[in-house]
Amino acid sequence: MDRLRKIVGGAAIACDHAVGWLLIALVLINGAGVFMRYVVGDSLSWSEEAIRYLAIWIAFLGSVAASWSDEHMDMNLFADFGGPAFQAWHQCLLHLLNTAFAVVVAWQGAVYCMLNGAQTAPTSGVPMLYVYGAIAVGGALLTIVHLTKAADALMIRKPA
Amino acid sequence: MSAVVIALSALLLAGMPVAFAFGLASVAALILDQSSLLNVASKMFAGLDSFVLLAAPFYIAAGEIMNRGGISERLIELSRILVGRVRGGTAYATIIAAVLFSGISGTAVADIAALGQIFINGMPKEGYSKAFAAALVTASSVIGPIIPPSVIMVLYAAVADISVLNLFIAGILPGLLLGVACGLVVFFRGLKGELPIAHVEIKRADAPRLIRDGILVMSLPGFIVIGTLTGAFTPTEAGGIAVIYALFLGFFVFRSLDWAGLTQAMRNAARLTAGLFLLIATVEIVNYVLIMAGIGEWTAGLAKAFAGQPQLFMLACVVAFLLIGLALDAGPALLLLAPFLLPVSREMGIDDMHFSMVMIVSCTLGLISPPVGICLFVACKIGNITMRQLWSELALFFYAEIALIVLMVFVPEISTALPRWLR
Repeated sequence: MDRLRKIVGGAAIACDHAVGWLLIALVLINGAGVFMRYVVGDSLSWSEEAIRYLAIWIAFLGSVAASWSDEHMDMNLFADFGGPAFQAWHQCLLHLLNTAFAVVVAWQGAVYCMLNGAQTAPTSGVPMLYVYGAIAVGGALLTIVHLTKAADALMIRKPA
Repeated sequence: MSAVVIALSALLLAGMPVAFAFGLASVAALILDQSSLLNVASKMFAGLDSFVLLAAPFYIAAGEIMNRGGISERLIELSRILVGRVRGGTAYATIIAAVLFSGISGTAVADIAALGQIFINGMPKEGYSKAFAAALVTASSVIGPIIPPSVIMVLYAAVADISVLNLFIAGILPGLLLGVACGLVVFFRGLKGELPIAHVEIKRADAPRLIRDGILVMSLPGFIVIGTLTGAFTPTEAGGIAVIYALFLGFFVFRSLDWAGLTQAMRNAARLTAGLFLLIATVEIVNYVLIMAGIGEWTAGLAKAFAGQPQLFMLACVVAFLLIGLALDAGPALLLLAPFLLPVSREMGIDDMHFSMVMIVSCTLGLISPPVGICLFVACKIGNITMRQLWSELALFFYAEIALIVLMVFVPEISTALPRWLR
């Protein structure tokens, strides 16, 4: 379990670093677009499209990192309720429910890719597979993260 | 439709993350309705594929960078100089710092995290109670999402399909009035002699540097609003430029930012953005499900029930959002309901900016309404006090801010005058 936790945690941290760099890329592309328009007098036709699509990758990969560090917004009503056993089962159940949604996202994201992946982006001509792929990849990673955390919740309950 | 609402409420009450609860409840509704699950992927993509939405990560990143660059300390020192030695001076300085900080942060949690560390732990040394200091910082933190730039306004504009620039401009006056409402509470507490006189320990020689730094920092929101007003760039482009400006200040002017700080700030901003974007993506699925379930009839009934009584309709919405705020951060509820409530308000002849600002301020107040307002938790954690201690001091500020919302309902010009005048 420790090894699995390390591997999944490593993947989540990799996602965390990746989204940081993607955000830097977003800032640079946006800046380049404004610079080209006002200084060079020519616009970067693909910049708006690139920013929109990169942001979709940020949404899904960043969600993986946020899930790993429990940063998604919730009501947290049961944080101080019951004993350790209740907390462990409650956390396990929540992560399994999260997994259920993540599985649907991964599955339908993959179907969406297969149906529409051959389309190309209107301006840049990039295959939409690379854009829609964010949904499937993000869903799959979210599934793995929440399954690991569900198992982890029950393992923590057991005394070492 | 009631099945969707019950499923959603149950999942939220169980403690599921809001975005996942929205998603799973929608999936259940789609299965029950025998609709295609492909809607999950297509609606999530449609919800995120928006250029306006992209302003949010930029403003979050600019705030993170500014915060790491020692900006909050500079703004706090500047606000102390501006207030001087008056009774309750540091309390006024807290409010001014919150107003100044709101121009760079865009979220209430960022405000309370930045200002709380200094004021909640520093004010008791001057004779304030810790509960009062925490309550004041908490009450002032709601100014953050109202004065531009504002992340909730960007998200709201994207889901409600209205101008984010108009929202930014409309937020200036209500944001300042929130500061006045908090200031009035401090003033009356000071009149009763309950607050100490400020001890300003800043050397006069440092004042020009602090004022220069303050002007440099505060030029950011002005730059965003003026740049977008003149049509030089879109609000999204302005957000990206704000990040570059924040980097310039952090690296070259204040020299307080390093590479490690930058990458950490960008990672934090990206994670926060991802959480909000996942919420927007799942809100899009819920909206689709609600339309399929016949929310149109419900909104038509709502318009009929409140026909000819627009102010009563707005008050009902305010009460609903405040009640939602008792159990849930009202932000997601606002994003969920805005596309349905805005058309009803239009049918009643209510100005878009008027309705939107009242709803945004009401939902922002949810951040400080017990028992689950996220700012309350942050303030209690920083001050190491209980929720009961915090609320005993916060209640007066909270009621003052509620009174402002009621005033906003009956005086539309508070929200509509500036956008009309400036555009």
